[in-house]
Amino acid sequence: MPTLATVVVHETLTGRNRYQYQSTPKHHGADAAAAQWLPKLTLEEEFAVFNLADQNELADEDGRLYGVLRIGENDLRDVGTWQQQIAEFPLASEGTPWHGYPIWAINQDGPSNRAAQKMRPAKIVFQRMETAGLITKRQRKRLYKGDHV
Amino acid sequence: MTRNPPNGRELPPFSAEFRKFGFEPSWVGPSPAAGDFCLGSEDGRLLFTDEAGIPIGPPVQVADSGEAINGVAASGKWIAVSTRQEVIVEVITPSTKEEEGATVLPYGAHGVGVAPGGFFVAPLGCMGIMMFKPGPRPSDPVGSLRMSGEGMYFYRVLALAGTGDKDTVITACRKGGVGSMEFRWGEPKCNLRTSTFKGLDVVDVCVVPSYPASPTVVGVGLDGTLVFFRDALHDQKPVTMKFDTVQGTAYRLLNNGNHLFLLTSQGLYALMNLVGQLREGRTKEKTATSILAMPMEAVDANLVAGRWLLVITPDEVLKLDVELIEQSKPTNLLNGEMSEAIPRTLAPEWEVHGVPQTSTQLAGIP
Repeated sequence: MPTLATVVVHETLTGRNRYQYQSTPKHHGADAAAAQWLPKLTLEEEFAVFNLADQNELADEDGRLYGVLRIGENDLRDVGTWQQQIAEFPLASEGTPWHGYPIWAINQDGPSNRAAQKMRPAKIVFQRMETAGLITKRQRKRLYKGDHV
Repeated sequence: MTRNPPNGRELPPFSAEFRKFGFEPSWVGPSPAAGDFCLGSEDGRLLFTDEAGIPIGPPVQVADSGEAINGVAASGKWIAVSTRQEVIVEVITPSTKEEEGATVLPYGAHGVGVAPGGFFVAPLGCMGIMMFKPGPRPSDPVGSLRMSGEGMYFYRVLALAGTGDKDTVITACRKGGVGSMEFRWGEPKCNLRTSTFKGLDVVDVCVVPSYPASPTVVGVGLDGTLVFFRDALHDQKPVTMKFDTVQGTAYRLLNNGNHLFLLTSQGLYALMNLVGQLREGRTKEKTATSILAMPMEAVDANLVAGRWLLVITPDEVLKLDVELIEQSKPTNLLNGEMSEAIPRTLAPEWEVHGVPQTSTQLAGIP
């Protein structure tokens, strides 16, 4: 990545729902306390994670989307600086581009802020990833319990 | 009795009995209570079985959050169970009404272990290391401390007897490398010594029999690189090696004092007698190591009593007998293939750092 000083709104829209996506400075170096996209990842690759999430409707019941980046047939690429392998894209309000950040499978929060259970994507998201062929059953089980694959 | 799955391999009969409980295993290890083995489930239950895998009673809901269990440890009458939502502490077998009930520490962990000093240790990822000691009864306060982490990521933690009344804590700190520190319960400060090099991402550590003043530790990197510390408290340049036979992303590293067992995304690798070779200092020689490679899809594994390798696969729990692996009996090796390999010895630029740790009382603990 690119450390960003300003928001970059991607021109390309997602293939399925025509969502617009933005890369934000907060998750590109501006806020050390926030989850950071891996510096090696290009903005296009970041968008590809989002596009794949939209394409396969990898959503929880609150409308958040979740994405991964595959390497070959059997591996997932890290997407975050803490070796996160799943990114979360919170539901954007009408007319606002979506944004996202690496979220799982790291353990980064305590009871004083967002609880770990809420950090973990809902079980249905992992199942949808498996059904879509993005992860294997083994990977689903490891990711679900909070381990890398 | 053995049965033949579709791929024709003989698998030890183990997990069929608890399928009827709808039990999806997420963790397996030694039993701290009844029976021989303990299994944790994806929905927060524990199940105890005998050596043949026969359940001793039905599963018990331990984590009310319903989160997947990723660690179980016991100290005295206490059992601690970890999930990514919380760590639960309770008396294993309450003998009085007073001993019933659990204390829930609201910190998600990657696992839990026990120190010879009688306290539990749990790696909290970015949050540091949690150490806690129950009071005499569940209603008493749990003494709990958290080592701050200082930018480290704590993925695995082990504790072993140190010198005097200290314990030695060994950690897998992902890109922070292997961490070690001496710790005495109640001391507010200590120093975590970390050893890493560029590109190393340590996902597991194991301790082999050694002297308390110089604990011998092996760590494994994500890519299967092995780092061997003859003395984890003092070594500046641990032996670093990689076997090209070992394929896949590393998940677990286990040992029984003689052999190393490395679980990866591609299978289970038994590195026969490697611990002995390393402890004898035979690291400069180009000594071949016998490697038994057992291709499998595995989720997690554990070693019980130095003999039973329990492996969670997507659909089974396999029980492998280390004694039979030593004898290379093919019907018990999942059609594994034995080969001889000489590791590549690496010479990375090791960086050793001291990371001051300050323990703080945890918030939100009753």
